[in-house]
Amino acid sequence: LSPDALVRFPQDADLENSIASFVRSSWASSFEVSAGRRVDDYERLFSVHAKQLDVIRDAVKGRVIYSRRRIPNVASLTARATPKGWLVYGPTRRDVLKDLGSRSSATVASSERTLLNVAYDRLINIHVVQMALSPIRNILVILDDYGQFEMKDLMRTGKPERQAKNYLTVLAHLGYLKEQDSLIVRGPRFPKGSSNRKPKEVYDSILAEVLDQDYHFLNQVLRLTQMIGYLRWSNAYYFTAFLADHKIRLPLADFDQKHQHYYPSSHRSLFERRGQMQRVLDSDVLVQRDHSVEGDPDITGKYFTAAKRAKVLSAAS
Amino acid sequence: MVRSAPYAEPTTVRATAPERRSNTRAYHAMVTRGKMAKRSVSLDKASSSPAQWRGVFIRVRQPDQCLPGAVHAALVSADAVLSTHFLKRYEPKDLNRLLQYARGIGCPAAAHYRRDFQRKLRGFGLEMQKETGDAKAFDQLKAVVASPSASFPIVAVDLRFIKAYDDTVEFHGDEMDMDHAVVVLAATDSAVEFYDPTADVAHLEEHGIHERLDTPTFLRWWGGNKFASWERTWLSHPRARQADERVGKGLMRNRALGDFTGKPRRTKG
Repeated sequence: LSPDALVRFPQDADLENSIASFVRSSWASSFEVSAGRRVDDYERLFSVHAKQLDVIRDAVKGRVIYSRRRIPNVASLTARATPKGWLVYGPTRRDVLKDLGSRSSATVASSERTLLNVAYDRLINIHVVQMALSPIRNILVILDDYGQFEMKDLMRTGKPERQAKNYLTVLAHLGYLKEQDSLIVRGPRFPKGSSNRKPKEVYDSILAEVLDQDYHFLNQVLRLTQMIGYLRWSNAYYFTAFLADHKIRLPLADFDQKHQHYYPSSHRSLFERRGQMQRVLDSDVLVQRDHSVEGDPDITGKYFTAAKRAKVLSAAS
Repeated sequence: MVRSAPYAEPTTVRATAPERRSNTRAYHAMVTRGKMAKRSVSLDKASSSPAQWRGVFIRVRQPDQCLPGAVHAALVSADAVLSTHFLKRYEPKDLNRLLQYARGIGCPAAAHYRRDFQRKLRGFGLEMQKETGDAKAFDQLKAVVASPSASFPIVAVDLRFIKAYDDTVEFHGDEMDMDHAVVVLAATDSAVEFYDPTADVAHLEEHGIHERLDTPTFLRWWGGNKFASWERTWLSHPRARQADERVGKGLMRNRALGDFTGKPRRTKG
């Protein structure tokens, strides 16, 4: 066997069945192999697809929903004819599992973005999120009142320099401010009246702009981890409901389990998780019913429509 | 769906395990912490009912964890009827590792009779046996279920098998064939009782659902599994060693005598 080859089959073997059997027995039984494509007399190409399963319990009707989905083309295998038989080349099981993990994360992240687009006005009502966004509002209020400020004034707020620059970068990117000599001044698209408007209105307009531009600003640049935490808890419900294809009532224990499944971390204690979950349940994003959680009807409708349009489940393809 | 098929359960009870567990999560947590996994189970096939066996098996949390759950159940029964101690050494989380379980993907189909796993089993006087083929498959299954020298057998069925015994289940998404593993606890010509490691006990109790099917329905799902029809695996003591292994044993004896080349020692004369 060649050192790079995964497996060897005799020349007269039923190649498709042999490869399918190899993949099932040595990778996982949830993989399937599509019909081979003939490249030439000596080479065939096979695609491997993964099948994933989610079990969702709906507390309303006491029913259990098995949601199945196929993730296409998780690996490509090449079979080459040699005098000693067919040699099959391709990625190892470890590589495929790693790739599949990142595809699953991409699907969950795509759902997060979709949810943020339809529910950001509710998320910013959460007090902790308002606190996290307040430095941005402070910058706008100062510019509204004074028209300009020096960078060193911003540094005195105690925020790390890098974080402060991130805020400026975001606002400059939106055209809300610009750097002039050593001063920060209003940009061409500065939202006037920031000091008179309610914080929610200001944040609404900023977030709407940010979301239009790039979701990664929130996650990567602004590092609004508080908001991301709430968003993830909310997404754990709405994505599960989307897989079940209707608004479900998820028992709290299952809600916690789904969150851990989509966002695995060994660092969060039960107390931390439960505390964060409760704060999300106290917000308007989700509705608590006895010992279960239900989606907001308005958000559910908008999210389902947006997720279907954005082909959230195809993000892994 | 059959919920109350005429099936005669053994009436003699000799068990230390509770018959029902409503709090499966707490139970699961205890098992995964290893507090209960190492407890010896004093049940035997002849006198313990399927319900009593289910009481000492664990339910898994992930739907794709059916194989580790089924293998764990088979090991619990093997340790009880064959007086082995595999689960005193290995916990359920170790089984996940030994069976190469990956979250969201499951296990390789052949994980439970791979060479590495078999080697671990042999260290405890166990061996995973596998049979396929439909000739007398059910008769053999019944024999394994009743045998005092074998664990309960694991059978491979299609995932939609769950719908056959639990009509509250709904399947959504892409239509596809998926594997599922259950452990057969009792089999007669009229009904088959089994243990589904992924089933939620609270849900089953709430809806009065029994892990039981009439035999024709069970056979339809068992034989109709696209990937591994009629496949059954069970644990027993290792079979008689093969000829080449006997040679190996001789080799080891020679080594023990001090000849590390493996050649028999020459004797004088």
